[in-house]
Amino acid sequence: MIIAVCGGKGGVGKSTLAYELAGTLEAVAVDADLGMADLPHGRGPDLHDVLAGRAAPPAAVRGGPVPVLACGRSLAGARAADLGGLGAAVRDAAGGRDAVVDCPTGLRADTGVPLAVADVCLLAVSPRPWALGDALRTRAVARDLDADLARVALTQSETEPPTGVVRRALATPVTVVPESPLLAATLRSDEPLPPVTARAPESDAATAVNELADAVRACRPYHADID
Amino acid sequence: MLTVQPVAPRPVPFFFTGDAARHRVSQNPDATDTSGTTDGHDPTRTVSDPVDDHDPVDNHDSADDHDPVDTDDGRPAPVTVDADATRLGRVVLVTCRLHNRTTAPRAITLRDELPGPTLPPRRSGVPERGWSGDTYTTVLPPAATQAVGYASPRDGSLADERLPEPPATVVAVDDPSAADTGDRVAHARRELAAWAPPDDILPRRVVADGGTPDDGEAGTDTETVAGDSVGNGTAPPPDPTGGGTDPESFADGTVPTVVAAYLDAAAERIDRAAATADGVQAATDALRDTHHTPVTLEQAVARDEAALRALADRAAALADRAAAADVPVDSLRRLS
Repeated sequence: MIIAVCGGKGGVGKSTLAYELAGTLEAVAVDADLGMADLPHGRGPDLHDVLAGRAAPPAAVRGGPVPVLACGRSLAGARAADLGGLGAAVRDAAGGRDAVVDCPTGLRADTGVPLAVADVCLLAVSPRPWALGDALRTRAVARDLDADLARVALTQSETEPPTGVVRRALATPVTVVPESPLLAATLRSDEPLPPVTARAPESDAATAVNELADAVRACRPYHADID
Repeated sequence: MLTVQPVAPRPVPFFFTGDAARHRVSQNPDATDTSGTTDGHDPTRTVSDPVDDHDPVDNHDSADDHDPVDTDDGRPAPVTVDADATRLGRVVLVTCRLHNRTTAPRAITLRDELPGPTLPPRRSGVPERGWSGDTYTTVLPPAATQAVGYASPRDGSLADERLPEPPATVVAVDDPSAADTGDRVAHARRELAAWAPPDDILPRRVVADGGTPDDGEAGTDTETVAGDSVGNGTAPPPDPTGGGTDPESFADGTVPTVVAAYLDAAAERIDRAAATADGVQAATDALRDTHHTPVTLEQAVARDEAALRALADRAAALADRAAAADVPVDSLRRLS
């Protein structure tokens, strides 16, 4: 199953969620943000090389607590990448596991293609009016491209998160992902970290990530496994 | 214009015609196997080759017949195409009208019969839904007509070449439920704005001596701030000698070349955006020589607005600070 983590605006914690979710689901995290990579990048080939036909997808997956298919950071690499090959690359890189794809912000083809190859998607929304508007547009695109919306993750939540408003607007159950130093550290650490569900299984953040993972697992009966 | 006359609702056997406007196929199932099968299609379907089979006289008298009448029993052929080819310079434009006269939806496959490549209509570089190579498949509702157009390039030396007649034929009619629902990835690339790295927020790579634009990250030292990196091709490239930011490199009362280049490019975009408000023709003219679509132009101008307002704020604040900054020249001269 391919899971896309998307959200209209940047800075709502999509990449963190994608990494955490991949770790919790024992899946491969794929950074599809071809222009502004976020997931930790080691040495070796990356998604740019894969999409330009210079590397085999499995060879570009970096091991660690959470396997990551990172994205290059050069403009030349981004220009050479062929979006049409993303689906095959993600399936090949996952090699039978699930794949969690971190989508770029915005509503261009580089966001639509991950949604088109995904079976289900997760929307990351922060409690700001503009974020909700973008989430609505992203959901419409996801629906058009047959990516089921599994759950809305309300990130960067304040003490009184507007769960009801978001749930009514998007007509989808909402999981509140609390502000947490554990999540803030996920992509900032020098060494790749295991997911928060393994680092601090009793924390609120882990509870939220587990809830998201369960929502994704609940979609599995409706989607064939990746070959 | 074109009229489609609904046929009396009666069961229509499932068979297939070539260009039935010229090449009539009886609706009598007993008559459908007279021309045999061709092209490796399902042998139960009759696909006629209109080029080889049809009578040229028949072709002439029915060329503009939009309401073909079946010769055998006086009824219109169920699925037909009227196709015309127009030579225009080095390209042939083909216009087709697909008719479904049956009482059920039909998935109809049209094939380009012109030699050479087929140029289907594209959006964001991706062919419109239904196109695959030289065939186009669409689902037509009952008693409906659809217009289809495409092009095919012609070498100039073949100006006297005889074009196949008709230029397009119906090669298959299927149950729509079995039709391909389309490639979602292609759909996403077609429907969403073209993707590009966000180079409008990054400095444009300027080729220095010995450098190449595509030498990857190794060449970052050749990058310099450029003006219109959106790349509409109209902004002059920054002058490497006059583009400095040192105040000595630009005349009094002017701004540095890189700033001027951006402002000029922004002004042109804003002019174009303003021109699009004067109707479709004006908008077409305004967008003709750019890579912009109305959507991307609107986005570009919105970004320009944000950038210009930010620039105005920063410029005003900096000007105030510049006015307030007082270099103690005399004191420092005494000290030095």
